[in-house]
Amino acid sequence: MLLLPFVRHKFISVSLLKITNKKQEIMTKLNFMKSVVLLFAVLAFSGCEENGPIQFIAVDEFEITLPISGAKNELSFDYTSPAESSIDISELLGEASSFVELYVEELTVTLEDYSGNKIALDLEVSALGLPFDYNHSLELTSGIATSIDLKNTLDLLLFLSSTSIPVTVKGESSGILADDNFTLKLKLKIKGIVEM
Amino acid sequence: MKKYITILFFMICSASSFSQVEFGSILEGTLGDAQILLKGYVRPIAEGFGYSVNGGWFTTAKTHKLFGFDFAIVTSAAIAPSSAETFTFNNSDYSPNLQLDNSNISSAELPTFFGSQELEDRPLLAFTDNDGNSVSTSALPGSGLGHAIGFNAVPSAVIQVGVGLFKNTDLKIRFVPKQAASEYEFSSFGFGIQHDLKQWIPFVKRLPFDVSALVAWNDVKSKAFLDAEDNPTQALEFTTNTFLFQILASKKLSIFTLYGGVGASSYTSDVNLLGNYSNVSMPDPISLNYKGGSMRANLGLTMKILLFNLSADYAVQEYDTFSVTAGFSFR
Repeated sequence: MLLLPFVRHKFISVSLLKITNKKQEIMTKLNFMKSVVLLFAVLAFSGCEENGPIQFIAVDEFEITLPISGAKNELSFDYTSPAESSIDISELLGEASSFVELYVEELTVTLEDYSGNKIALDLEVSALGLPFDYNHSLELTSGIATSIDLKNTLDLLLFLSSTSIPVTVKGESSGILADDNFTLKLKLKIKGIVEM
Repeated sequence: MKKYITILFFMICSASSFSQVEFGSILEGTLGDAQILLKGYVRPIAEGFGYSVNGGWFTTAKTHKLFGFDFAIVTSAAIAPSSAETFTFNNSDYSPNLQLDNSNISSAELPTFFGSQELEDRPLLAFTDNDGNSVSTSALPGSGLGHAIGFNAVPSAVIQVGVGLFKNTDLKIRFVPKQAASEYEFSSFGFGIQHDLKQWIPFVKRLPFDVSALVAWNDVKSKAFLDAEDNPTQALEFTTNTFLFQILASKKLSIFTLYGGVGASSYTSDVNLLGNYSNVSMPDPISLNYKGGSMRANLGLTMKILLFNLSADYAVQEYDTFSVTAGFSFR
C-alpha cells in the first residue's frame, strides 16, 4: 500500500532522458540503474517536491587536445580551441537546471607529438578567457604529464554563457621551437555544484 | 515528485555520461555495491513500515461476546528515530569501483531516505571504471520529508474486522483481496487472536478491568511494474510480514476506554527488483532483506458513542508508532 500512490509517476523518468545519440548509446547500458533509481523514486513521498532546490556536487576530468601548427623556428604560439572542440560541460550539468558554482580545481598539461625531447617555455593557459593562476615558467617533456600547481582554483561561473568552454594556450619559448606541428593535451578537473 | 525523480537520476545519469568513464564496467562490477548502498538508503522505509503495520490491532482488552463483531479502519504512522537518518558507508564494504572520494577517510555517514538534503551532509562518492577513470558525485539526498512536515514517518492503512468466538476469544482479520492493474498489484492478509486472560485467574477475574493477550500476524504484498508494456517482468516488489504479541489491559470509564499493553513487535521486509535488465546477466538483480523487532508498550484512549468507536494510541518501540482507529463495534 505504501507504493500505490507513487506508481503513476514511473513514466516521468523516461522523459527525463533527453540526451544525444552518443549519450543514448551509453544510456542503454543503464536500464538497470534506471530501475534501481526508480526504486528510490517509487518509495518517495509526493510531498517532497515542495522542498527547496536540492544541490549536487559533480566532479569530473575533461581532456582537450590543442594542436599547435606552424610553430617551427618560432619563439611563441597562441591557440584557442574552436567552439566545436572546446570543453563541453553540459554533461556536468546533467538534468540540473543551473550551476551554482563551477570552477577548475586541477590542471595537467602533456606535450605530445613533439620531435624534440622537451620545451622550456612560459605557458599561459586560460579558460573562457580567464587565466589560470600559477607559475607560468614550465618545462614540458614529451609524453610526460605535468601537473600544474594552481595558486587558486579558477572560477568560471561569472563568465559562463553556454556549456562550451574554450581553452587558450599562449607559449613563449626561450629558444626556437623544433617542431612545426605538435599538440598540447590539457586535462581539467572541474567541480560543479548544480541545483535542481 | 518529478523533481525528486530527476534528482535521483542525476547521480546515475551524470555519472554515466561523463566523457572519461565507462559506466558499463562500473555497473557490472558494482551490482553488489548497489545492493549494499541501497540497503542502507532504504532501510528506514522497510523498518518503519514493519512497525507501522503492527499498529492498531486492538483498542480495548475486552473481548467480544459470542458473535459480537467490530469493523475498523486503522491508520498508523511509524516515526523514524534520528538514528535512521544516516547509514555508515565503509570503503571496505564496497568494491574499488565505488569508494568515498575523500581518500583520507575510510568511512562516512550518508543520508538515508529520511536523511539530510544538505550538501555538507552528503559526502562525494567516486565511481571508477576498470580503466581507472573516475567521476564523483554527491551521495543521494534524503527525501526532505522531515524538513517539510517536522518529522519522518512511514504511514500505513488497513481495514480490520473482529468477531467474538467461544471462551472470550476474538478473531481479527485484516484482508484486502489482490488488487491488480496494469501498473501495480497489491494484496494484504493478516489475522490475530485476542483471548481474555482474566477469566482464568482466580480473584483477578472479579476486578473491574480487562486483561487479555493478543498475537497477530500480517502480510502485505505490493508490486509496481516499471515498464508494463514492453517489459512486463520488470517490477519493484515490496513485501512485509509482521508479528505482534502483547499482554493488554483496559478500563472502561463512561464513554471512554483507557487501554494499553506491553509485548514485542517484529517484522521481515523484502524489497526486490524483479525481471531482466540489459547489461546485467543476473535476473532479479536486487534483493534487499530486512529483519528486526523490538519490545513494545502502548497506551491509548477509545471513545465509544453508540456503536461507533474512535481511538488513538501511541506505541513506544524502535520506531514509535501513532495509530488512529475509526469504526464501529457491536456486542
